[in-house]
Amino acid sequence: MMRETLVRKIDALLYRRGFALADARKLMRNQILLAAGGSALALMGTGFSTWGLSFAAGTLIISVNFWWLAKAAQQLVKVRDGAVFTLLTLFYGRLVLTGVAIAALVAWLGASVFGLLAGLSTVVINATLWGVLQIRHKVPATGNGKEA
Amino acid sequence: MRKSLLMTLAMVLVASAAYASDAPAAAGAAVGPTAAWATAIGMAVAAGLCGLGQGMGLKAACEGTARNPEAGGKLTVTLILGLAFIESLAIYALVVNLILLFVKPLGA
Repeated sequence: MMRETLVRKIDALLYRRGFALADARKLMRNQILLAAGGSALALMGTGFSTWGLSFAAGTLIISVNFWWLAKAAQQLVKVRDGAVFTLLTLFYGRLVLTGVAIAALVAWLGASVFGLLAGLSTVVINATLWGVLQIRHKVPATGNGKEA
Repeated sequence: MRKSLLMTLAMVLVASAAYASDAPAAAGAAVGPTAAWATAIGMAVAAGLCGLGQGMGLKAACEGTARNPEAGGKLTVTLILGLAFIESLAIYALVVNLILLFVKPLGA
């Protein structure tokens, strides 16, 4: 019940923020839940250690990146001229900002590199899970051979 | 022509690395500048190729949507997934390069 309410609230927020496509909204919602749940687990599990904080920072950075990317991709598919230029400008802009954030974390704040990498991998986990679930839904269940 | 250009580029890169290893402070101090060169080249290659991949993916998605507008929703989700994977590669390369530059696992 509580989970359904949370999912509905996140979906409503995403819809208001421009995630008009249902599947894109679902993907972003999964990323938010994975990042929040993973960060909470890492922080509680490691007792707010450097690893846990680095993991949370990694999930935050990659989730912001993914939000920006998903929102832009929904618009860019419909654009007729200059879509690739806009995409590349956004990509390099995001990369520079991510670079500054990660450099600050690694070089000056002494973040755990492995924690950061694990946090940054949440988006890959989310996308892989999504792909696997889609394939599982598409593949029909194998029968017992007596259907014909 | 292209082959000779690539050969020249490879020779220049190998030569600069070899000269860097013959630097005055041979006992480990040369790792610094070499790591700086390696990170610069590594990040340039990663960013360039990931940008190329993203551009090609978007181009294909735009063409697909133009041919079959009804499949636009599915194409967009697939595009987002592809772009996310490519972007993750670029960010991994960035992290590895920053580790080489700041954490210095190969020495001072």
